[in-house]
Amino acid sequence: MDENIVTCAGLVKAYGPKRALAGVDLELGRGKIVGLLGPNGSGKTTLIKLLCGLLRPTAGTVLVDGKPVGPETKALVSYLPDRMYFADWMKAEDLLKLFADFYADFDWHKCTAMCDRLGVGPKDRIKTMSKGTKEKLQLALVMSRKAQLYLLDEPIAGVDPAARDFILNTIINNYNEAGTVVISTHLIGDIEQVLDEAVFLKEGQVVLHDAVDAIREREGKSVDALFRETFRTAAWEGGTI
Amino acid sequence: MTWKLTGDRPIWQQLTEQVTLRILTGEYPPGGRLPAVRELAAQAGVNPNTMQRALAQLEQDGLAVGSRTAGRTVTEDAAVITAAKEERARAAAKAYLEALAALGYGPGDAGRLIEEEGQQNG
Amino acid sequence: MLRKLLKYDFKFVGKQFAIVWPAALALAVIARLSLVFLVRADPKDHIYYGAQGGQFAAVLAWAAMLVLVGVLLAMSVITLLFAIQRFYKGLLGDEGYLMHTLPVRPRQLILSKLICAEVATVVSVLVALAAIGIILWGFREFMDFWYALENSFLILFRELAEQSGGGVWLCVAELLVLLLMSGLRAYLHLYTAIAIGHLFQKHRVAMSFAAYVVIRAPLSFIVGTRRGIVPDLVFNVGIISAADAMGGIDGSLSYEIIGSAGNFHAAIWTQIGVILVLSAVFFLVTNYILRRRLNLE
Repeated sequence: MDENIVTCAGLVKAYGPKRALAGVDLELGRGKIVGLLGPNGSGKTTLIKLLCGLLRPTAGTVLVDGKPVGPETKALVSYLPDRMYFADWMKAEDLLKLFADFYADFDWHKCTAMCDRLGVGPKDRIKTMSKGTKEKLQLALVMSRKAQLYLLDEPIAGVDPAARDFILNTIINNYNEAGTVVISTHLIGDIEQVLDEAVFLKEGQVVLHDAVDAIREREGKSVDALFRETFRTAAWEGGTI
Repeated sequence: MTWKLTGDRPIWQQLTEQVTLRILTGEYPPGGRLPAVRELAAQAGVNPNTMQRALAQLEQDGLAVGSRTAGRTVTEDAAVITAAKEERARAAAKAYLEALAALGYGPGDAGRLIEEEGQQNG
Repeated sequence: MLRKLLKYDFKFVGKQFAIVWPAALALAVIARLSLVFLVRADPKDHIYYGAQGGQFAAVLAWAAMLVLVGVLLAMSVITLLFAIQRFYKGLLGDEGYLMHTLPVRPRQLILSKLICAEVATVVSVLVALAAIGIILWGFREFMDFWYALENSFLILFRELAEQSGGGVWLCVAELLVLLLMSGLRAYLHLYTAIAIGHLFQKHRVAMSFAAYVVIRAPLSFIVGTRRGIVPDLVFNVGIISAADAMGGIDGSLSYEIIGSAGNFHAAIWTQIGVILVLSAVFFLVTNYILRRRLNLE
């Protein structure tokens, strides 16, 4: 077992001439909730996709649990994408079975209990669910795993405050405490309280990585306020966000 | 009692203060069991690690005893609680005096104002 | 893990074809019944000679044939689209987010899609044959052709077996293996083209199509110079059946055609070998792209 759950060194991802990640060096320890913070287009989603194997790096290394991304690391990673990835005709039960089949760390009872609370029955079809319910169901599936690394891509984008509280509570109450949770977002104020560490991404590079309380102590302001300053300056300088 | 967190100071310090307040007001009575870290964290909507740190501070302050695994209880030592109350009250008094000083009132005015307020409310 | 993937992918096959296959058979049954009862065609006679319902019946008889052609066409299109969709959408679309984060290897993902596509194709062919049988079985037009076909197949395979040894059934089995392998090769060709299209930032569908055509050129050269044994056989059987249906078998003709095939086993296994090599190349290219160049955006 490697000391760090995530290790990135000189990580570059280019789409044609455009570099979404321009040399990221990042190490994340275990048992932490980490905010991956940056405005849209700063490379948050790209970094998460590299960690879960949906993208391949252009250059540099990306290790999960000390191993290159592959089936062994995918078994440790629980990924919540920024979109629905389930086929419409499936029933909730089909999804649970799928997760139970492929992920040894999936807790069936936990997930059915969460579904109950959401008012989702095992025979309910995905097609008949509202967008919000689908997203919550997906979160329930992802958080019912006792994973080493949770990668949650924009879990609270575009939801109302009640849903946001539900989502954050679900995360806090269910994640594996020995594992690390990475939450990407540009809405820092909403999640600041649940974070141990904050990683600021700016134009594909890590510009800050520190404990949230250390930032508050040093700067005398919230991470949200610091974030606004960091990225507002960028706009004034005429840089692209 | 709800949890109020502001942006300017470390969250764990604010949590320590607020749990302390709950102990001093008797919401968590002496010798009573404190809720589990995860439960408290969920109530406050904060990270369990942060809550853990806040509770560790309570242990250092002598207000809570026990361990994370076995569960924590509020201290039964009345002297510790009284001392903490005293400290908290002094801090409130100090803040009050500072606020009055900013308005140009001296300590004498402070006593008078408190007496008058007490009569009105009593 | 492959078994679990197959379980999941076969659910999709079931979902996709749960309506198509029974509907094809049901349409065939309806066409048959209308031939028998509305057209009042005698099942032992020619459809048109036996038709006794006048002009309306004749129209219906044609309608039944149209239904048959329609069902066959629709099934081939649906099956082909299914194979493409399951690979393209299932691995490179939104569903790919799920599939590629499962703890499985890309080659298992490809194999699972491939096996499903092949099985769906085989079942579709069987259903199509059944539909033909349901509508036409017994009518003179069809039975004449059927007996001729049966006959010429028998003659052909007996000749082949006699020349090359091994018995009729071995030859038939070899031919079936070849057909199945050709199916796999064709699907892997498609997958490779789609995967190559995925390497581009834009116009992925157009690039896939271009890749398909580009691969096809050398492919038809490799397979083409060897003059595929399957087209040969189909051609031969066609000629013999036609000759038979026109009255009497021209033994010398069929013998000549068969003689040109040389040793059947050698020919067919050479062909299977070529297909295997091609399939392996396609598979490796597709696997490489999914493993090393995956770009789900």
